[in-house]
Amino acid sequence: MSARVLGIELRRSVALLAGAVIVAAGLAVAFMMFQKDTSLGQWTAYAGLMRYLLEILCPLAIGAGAWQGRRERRSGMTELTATVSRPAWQRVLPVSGAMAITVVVGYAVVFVAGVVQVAGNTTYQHLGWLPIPLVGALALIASGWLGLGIGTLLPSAITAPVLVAGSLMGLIALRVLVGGKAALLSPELGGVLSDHFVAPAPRVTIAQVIWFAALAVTGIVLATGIGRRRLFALLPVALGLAVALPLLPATREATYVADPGAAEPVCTADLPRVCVGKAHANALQPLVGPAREALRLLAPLPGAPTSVAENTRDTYMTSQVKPQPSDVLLVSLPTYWLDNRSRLSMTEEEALSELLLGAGTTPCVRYHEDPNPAELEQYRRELDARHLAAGLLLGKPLRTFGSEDKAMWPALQALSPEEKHRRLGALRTAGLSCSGDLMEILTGSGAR
Amino acid sequence: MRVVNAAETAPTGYAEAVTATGLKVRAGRRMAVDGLDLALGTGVHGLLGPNGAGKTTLIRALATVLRPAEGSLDLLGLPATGNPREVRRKLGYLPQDFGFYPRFTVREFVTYLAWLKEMSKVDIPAAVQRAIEKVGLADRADDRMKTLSGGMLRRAGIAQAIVNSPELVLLDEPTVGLDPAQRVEFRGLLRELGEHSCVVVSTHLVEDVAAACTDVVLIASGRLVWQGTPAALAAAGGADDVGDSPTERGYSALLAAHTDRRGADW
Amino acid sequence: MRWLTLYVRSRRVPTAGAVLLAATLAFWVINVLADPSQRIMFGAFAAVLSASAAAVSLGSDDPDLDRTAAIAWLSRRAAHVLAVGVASGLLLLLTQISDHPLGTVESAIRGVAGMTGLAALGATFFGAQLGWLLPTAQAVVALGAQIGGAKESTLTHVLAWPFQPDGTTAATVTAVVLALAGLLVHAVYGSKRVRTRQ
Repeated sequence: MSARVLGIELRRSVALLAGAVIVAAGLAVAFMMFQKDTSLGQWTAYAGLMRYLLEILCPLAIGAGAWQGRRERRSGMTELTATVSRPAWQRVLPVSGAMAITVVVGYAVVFVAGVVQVAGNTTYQHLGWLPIPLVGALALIASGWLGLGIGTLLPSAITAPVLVAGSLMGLIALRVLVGGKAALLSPELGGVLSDHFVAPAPRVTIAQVIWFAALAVTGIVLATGIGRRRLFALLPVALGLAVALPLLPATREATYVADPGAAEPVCTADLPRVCVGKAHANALQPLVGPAREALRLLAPLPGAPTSVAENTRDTYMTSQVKPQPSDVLLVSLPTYWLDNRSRLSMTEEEALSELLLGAGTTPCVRYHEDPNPAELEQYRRELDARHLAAGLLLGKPLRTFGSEDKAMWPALQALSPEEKHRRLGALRTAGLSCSGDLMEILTGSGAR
Repeated sequence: MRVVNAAETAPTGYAEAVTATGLKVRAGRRMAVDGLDLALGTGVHGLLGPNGAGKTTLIRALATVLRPAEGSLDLLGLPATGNPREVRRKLGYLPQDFGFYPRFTVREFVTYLAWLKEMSKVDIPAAVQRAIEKVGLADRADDRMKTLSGGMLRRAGIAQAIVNSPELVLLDEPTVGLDPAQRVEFRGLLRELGEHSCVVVSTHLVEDVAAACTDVVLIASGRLVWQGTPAALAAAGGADDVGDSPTERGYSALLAAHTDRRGADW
Repeated sequence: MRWLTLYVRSRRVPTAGAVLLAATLAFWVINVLADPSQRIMFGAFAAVLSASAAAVSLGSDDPDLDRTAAIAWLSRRAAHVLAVGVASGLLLLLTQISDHPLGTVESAIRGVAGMTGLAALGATFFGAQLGWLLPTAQAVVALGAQIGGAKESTLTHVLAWPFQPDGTTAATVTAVVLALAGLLVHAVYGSKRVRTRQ
């Protein structure tokens, strides 16, 4: 391809405008996101958030491409270009190249907007996140080229707006309605990522690269093809789907796998040992006080823990591994307890209450979206027992007590210290292995 | 600056630039060129004929846009039914309905077309400048196409047609929109091109033919009616034929004779 | 009626109408899967699309020729904008009788009114071929505010008016203002003249 002709297309095609629109729309939405989320705190989460932006940017690239694709027919150049010697596939290279350059540069500008903050915020510096924006850039190129191809095929003024509105809605529908495997064919990567100890599964990255590359090729074939040759455009799409779909994981949770680098423990030098994941190293110092206080309060119980470690495998406690070892007190630090620099945003008192929930055990009843009433009741009942246990250890009601807790509190508080320890010890044992109903154990109703 | 003409470097492996035998070309459903025999060599050939005679269809066939339905057509020594890429490199074409990219400057537009014709990268800038100068657009070279007047656009179209020093130049109604002074200049350009290339100019304006062409091709109903020099065309007219100039009278006389003969056939 | 037929054809109404119908149908099919909370958003997209498609009909190939014709263009242009709004509005409202309506009655009317106004403004400023720019930009702004997680405020109600639930005063007012502005400005100035060919 000639650099001179590429330069002409960069100046004169829609490419430059497409890049500018991507920068403007991308920065506007990105800055709104920056206000709210802690995603400026970690590389992977930030890169994932920037992928979320593509749900808007890709439709814009499609629209720009479609508008550009009309040019040949609209300007009446087809008669002249039918008599030139350069083959059709070479003719689309400058304009598609120009578009690829501007959309990628535009996306890079948007991406760079938060890079300095992330680098300053995180304690886990790495490059494992790089595939995320690279796949995103590929998705943008594929969108631009697909638009170019469809615009060439259907050079109507209506094509571009129909494609923009249709793909905006299509991508949302893919995320909120379709879900599962197919949702990962979208350029976004699972919405806002709130787990700091994961990285995209390599198979997801590979499948998405194949899929978006197939779409890009389709766009070029459509932009090149004359007459029946356009049918070949269906080939890469079909091939891409056939390869990518089996590679993609069946559920959204499997989009991400554990990132051992982020979870690598960072611990106190002195005993009792308190550890957090490397990504949350800034949270260690404020956590040490409440953590050791929790160990001290739990010490009288049988099988009391001797150290505290961050729960890096299951931040949101949705897939508890039981039985749980008794010597380590696990604590979760989800993003809503952290600030942008992954320091604790809760008070020491709140941290202490959290550590003491369920007498230092993780929950047994899994919480999931869309529970039925029976599940909800079971979950609430366990939660109440866990809160009451923490209250008994602290010797005062928690601020997070519900009405149920408040009603039961006076009777429990009135028990003798020995009885309290006995019941808390039994509750802890049951909580570690998930055997028995915690509420029954705590109220003593099941003991008889 | 040394001007490199196509003729100096071109292989002369063919006797005539265009050879058609019993050529038939469809325009839509109609056989617009219907059994044409024609041989065109170096020089400027004025293609004359009434509306609907098949001039544009013939030019489009010579430009490799349309494929012959029947008969044979050789362009620059190569059959038109084969891969046209080799021919297209040496082709300059100004379509009747001339499209352009409005946002491009004249220079960018001509550069782009030069690239499409697979000119070598190093030759492009100088060739573009030369073509723009030849059509007298040097002072507007860096203006956007959309700011040009109709006549200027036509000249930009001629510039793109000649940028690759083509051996076969096809100009369909090139003088439309040109003012009288520009037309005089354009005839000079035609004569210059005709020294080394085969130039086919389709036109309604018989005076252009008389002033600039070395050869006149008169077609009607898709067939060759008459071929000869402009002087012979002027001589063919009688005093009572329609037209203001000798060439126009010759044109109408030849055409009338042809339709008479066709009439007699029926 | 003959005049109307020719006028309709000169404005590529058949194409615009076919696209409008097909798009609404496609959106409705997707919408069948949606739960009620998402329907307002999908209805808004349907309104964006129909206004965008209809905007192309707001201009002809030769606006200059139109303008020199001795016809009362002011009232005719106003009627055209109104017709565009009514046509796309009727389609959206038609889905209300199904089990899976695109938006609610209120949000459909609000969306169509506002988006038609924006399309008319777009045609006035950028030419009928680019009339879709403003409705599309509005959709992007609204979606951006949602994805960006903008806080609830009058400003976001105005910026993201197409996605607001029924009874959001600021959103309704914005849509009405856009509709009136589009109707008036387009009726007075008409589509911007854009040269497409030599």
